Amino acid sequence: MNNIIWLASYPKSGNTWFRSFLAALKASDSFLDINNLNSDGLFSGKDKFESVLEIDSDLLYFDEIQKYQSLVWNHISSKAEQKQFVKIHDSFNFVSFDIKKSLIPEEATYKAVYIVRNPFDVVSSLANHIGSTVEFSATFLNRSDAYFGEPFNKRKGGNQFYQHLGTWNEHVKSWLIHPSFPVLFIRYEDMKMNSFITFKNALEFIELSYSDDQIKQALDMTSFEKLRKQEEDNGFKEKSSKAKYFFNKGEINYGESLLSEVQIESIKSVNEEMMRHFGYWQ
Amino acid sequence: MYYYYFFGLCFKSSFEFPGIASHNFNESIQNPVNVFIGTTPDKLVNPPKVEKPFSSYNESELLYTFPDIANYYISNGNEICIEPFSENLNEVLQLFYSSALAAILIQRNLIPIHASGVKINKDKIILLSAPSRVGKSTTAIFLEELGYPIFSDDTVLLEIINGKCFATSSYPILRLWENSFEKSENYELNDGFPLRPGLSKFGFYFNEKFTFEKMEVAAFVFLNNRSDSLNTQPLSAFDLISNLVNNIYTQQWMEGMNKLSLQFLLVTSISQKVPGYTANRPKDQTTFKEFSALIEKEIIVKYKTNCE
Repeated sequence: MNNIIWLASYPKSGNTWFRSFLAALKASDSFLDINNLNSDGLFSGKDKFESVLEIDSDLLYFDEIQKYQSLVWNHISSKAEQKQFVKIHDSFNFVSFDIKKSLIPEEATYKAVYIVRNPFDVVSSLANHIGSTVEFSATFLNRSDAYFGEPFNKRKGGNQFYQHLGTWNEHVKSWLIHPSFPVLFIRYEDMKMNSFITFKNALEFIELSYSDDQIKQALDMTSFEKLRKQEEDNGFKEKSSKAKYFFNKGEINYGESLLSEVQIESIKSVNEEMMRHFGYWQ
Repeated sequence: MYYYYFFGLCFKSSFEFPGIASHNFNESIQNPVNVFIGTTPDKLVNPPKVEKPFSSYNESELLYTFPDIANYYISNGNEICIEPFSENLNEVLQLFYSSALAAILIQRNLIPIHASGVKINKDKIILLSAPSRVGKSTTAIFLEELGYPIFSDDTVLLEIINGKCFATSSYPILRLWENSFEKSENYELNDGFPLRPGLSKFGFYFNEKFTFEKMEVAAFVFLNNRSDSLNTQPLSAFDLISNLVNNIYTQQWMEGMNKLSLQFLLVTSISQKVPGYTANRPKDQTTFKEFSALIEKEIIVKYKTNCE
């Protein structure tokens, strides 16, 4: 019954890289098509929701959507013959009509992998993704009311439901303290610097068995350079219309240099607790 | 009793549909679909082939629940029973239009497709096909501003008759998000009604402009909103088939209602008779005027030049 493994993260933290890696492991012909990652959906995407409930979600109110999301994922979990890897950017939150009921259906959940990234680097990557200035995205990371998708009080036909993010600190902390199921936290920086052991540990956690050679091959297939090259050649359907490239820099420890002293201090003051917890505090 | 035509079929209803013009009883009406308010069964008469949280169905029955709004039981291609829980009839009828009608069609071996249509001359249309939220309706109303009247919104029924592909319009309601019709010349907030109270998606009746007769399909235009630029491309017959299959309305019902072979026959037949194109745009609302102008120039005008 509990067949869902959430691939969770604050946006622009390495979630797509991790999903690409899983797809590369499954690719039989040593070629990964980034526009056909065959992942098992997005928690806040409307497509799975509408396919399961057979309803136009644009006809639903916000509290109905929240109520029915658990029905959808419980149904998918109960029908699945193998583990489902589902991307999620929502903070681990509670539904608006019941402060004890988590938005994410725990009864459908097996485990989660949460990818965390240095917030200074997230600022830069997010600015590219949403086509904003670094100044805007630095402020975005500090906002308790930050969200992705459609604002719940002003919908206009987007493909994703409202996803509460909160501050970077609130997002990370929500996944650290609330879930009743096992969550493996991995740092983007470790995915980058110690790729093999970091990905191998993640696979052990989610109980996927692949040889060391298969892991190395999948890592090679999903190197930043190869993902970027494919995007340059064929485009990437997950890219926002405001970004030139989805796979933008993929570097680590560069974001801070793009920020002013005031912006750095502001981010540190709002996000100190989780920055310290995950080794980003200097 | 009230008589209506949806998708070219006659519906005999025990209640009046708000905003839809009714028709007089005609002795020639054969095999109408009966629509009535009643108590829906707890389960299907025959074993379900598919069971989901809100629905269960097999080849001849669909039972659907829209919590707190209504239950719907559609059977044998000739009966729709509605058990309402909401007093707002517009709210209750949203699922009638979007699901119950499609179920009746499929039970009668008729295939609806996700497409809006505009008339390009007195007897031909082009169909703008895409999944939800890509911009079918908005593109249609901007083409309407260029002189191509709306034929149908969101869905049409497709048939091959005497070697030609014909479409029948669904019903005289156009659905638009507020931010879509705000930019148009022909639609204003006061003329529409919210699909449910408080929603910013509105319905607009177009009884006066509604076409009951089948019209020949001149071209299929599959809309895409994930491009970096505005462009159109012709489709091969193979790609036309795949686009048609992806845009069968309620495509997920085809297997559970045992209609896959029927679907295959229809789309392969269409692919031999009608040209297909993709029309691509960036996901940016401000491009609709230019997008519609491009479809006019690259597809409609060229078609007319070649065929008229």
